Amino acid sequence: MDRKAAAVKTACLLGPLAAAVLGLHVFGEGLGRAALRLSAGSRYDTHDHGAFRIVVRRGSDYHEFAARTLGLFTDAMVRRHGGGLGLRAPDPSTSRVTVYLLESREDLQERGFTTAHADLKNNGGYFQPARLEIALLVSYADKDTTADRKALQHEMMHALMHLAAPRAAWSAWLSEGMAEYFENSRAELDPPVLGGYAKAHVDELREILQGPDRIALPDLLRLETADFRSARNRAAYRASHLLVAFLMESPAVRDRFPAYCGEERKDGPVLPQAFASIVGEPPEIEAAWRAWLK
Amino acid sequence: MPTWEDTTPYTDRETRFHRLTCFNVLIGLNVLGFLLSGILPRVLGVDPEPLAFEARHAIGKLWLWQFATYSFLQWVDIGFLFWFVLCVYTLYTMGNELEGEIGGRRCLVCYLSFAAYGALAHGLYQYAGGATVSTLGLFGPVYGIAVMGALRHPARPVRFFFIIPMRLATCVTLTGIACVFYCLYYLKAGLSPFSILGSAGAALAIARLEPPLDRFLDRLSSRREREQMMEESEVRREVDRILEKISREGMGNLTRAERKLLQKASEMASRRRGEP
Repeated sequence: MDRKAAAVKTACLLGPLAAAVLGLHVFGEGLGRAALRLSAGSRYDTHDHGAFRIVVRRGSDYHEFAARTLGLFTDAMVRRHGGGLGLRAPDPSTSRVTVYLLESREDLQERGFTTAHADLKNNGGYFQPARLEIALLVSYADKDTTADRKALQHEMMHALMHLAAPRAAWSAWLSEGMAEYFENSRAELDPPVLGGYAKAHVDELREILQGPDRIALPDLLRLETADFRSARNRAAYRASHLLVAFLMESPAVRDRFPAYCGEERKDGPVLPQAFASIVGEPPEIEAAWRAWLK
Repeated sequence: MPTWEDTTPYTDRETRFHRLTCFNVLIGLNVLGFLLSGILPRVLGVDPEPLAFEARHAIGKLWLWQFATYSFLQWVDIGFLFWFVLCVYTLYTMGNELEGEIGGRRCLVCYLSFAAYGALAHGLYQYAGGATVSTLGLFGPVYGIAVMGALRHPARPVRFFFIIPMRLATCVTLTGIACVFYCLYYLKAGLSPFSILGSAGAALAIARLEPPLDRFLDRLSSRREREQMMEESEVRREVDRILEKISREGMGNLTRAERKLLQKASEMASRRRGEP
């Protein structure tokens, strides 16, 4: 085969590739939007707000509220915890977060099955790291938006943790505990109040710890994602929430907590003995935690 | 069950090359990539992520090197090690034999093209599915080479996962299915089933489209040769007439067109002799 024929064959091999790359370079975003519109269904509209692409009920302006809430929360979290936890904001061109604000449980369950492969009958939303996708059941309320704000902040916290360490396999208790703790943030205040818990949460956990669903610290550290999707997930959520609150706020352990988070941020799952070696032996920490709860 | 060499159609030479072949160099690069994937982030604290394929970087920002570099970056994991060894074995046996048949340069072009088409398929998935997970690993190009080899010698006996004897075409198909499911399960770790499908598609397209393209190029080439031959014989006839005129009337009586024709005939003769 002469040189010209070899050149023609190489051009035939690489020409379609170059054309496809060029096509995706120009029309890739449009393709993404079309796919999103198809998957969301005709009852929903898509709105771009910088690093967030928000899908809302057709004709609703709820995306403005969601974008404002997510933007304020993300800015405040990155400013306050960008160094310690390594949080970073989503990038509009490379890591845009898609947020589905769904109006019915059926829509949420359908999305949960198709994209997160999970049965969400006991949950109000999810964050799917592989697609940077948040889906939430929201009220579309005009006045009291507290529950929706909390739900948005909860899922956004998962997204921020994923963006901080995309290859980390965060422990379920830490991931959900951080999300529960920071969903109580008030990022719109000056200065912002980030994270927290209410007396009602402590009372609820005390009640759980005395009932049949009580959960010991070693079991809490071993919880799986599936435990947070089960019908009795309330105990798992509340215990994780207040354990993170204890680790963040108690003077006895709060200096050790960032080092443990650093260990979790590494690629793959954290070693089982990491908690004991960095934070402390579980029986001692459990005793201190229970005392703190009182 | 015979070994790979025992079943080779080539009896006059070794199929495993112990010299610097294209595929042996690629094996070296992949092993180096595997070591660096472990050392860079853990020991040196360097993030190799810019070398992995991420569509919004590679296509959106035209970081074109990612179309090739992602395939040399590997997932450092015990389970993946088995697949890595299987891929290296495939390159060592099938790859080197293929190189003996079609040449090193063409093999290199095919390997890199399979890597690029695999990346393109993953990019399409990322854009259409809104996925942000980047991809790495040698699965795509190696599977492309395996498909290419299986299409050339489909009935050759091999061992599926080094154990069960079967035809090469069946073995490559079953391995591909197993690979796709394995990658689907570990998609978050960066193993992309789409890169396998993309490069397999490219290998099938080459096998389907190359023969008609070869025939077209052959036709084109023989038509060019025929036209050249006709032109040469026409020029030769004219040159004979001009030479006769020179001997009859001398050089001074040649017209401008006749001088030009002599010049052209001289250039054609030089070209045939390979002179500039």
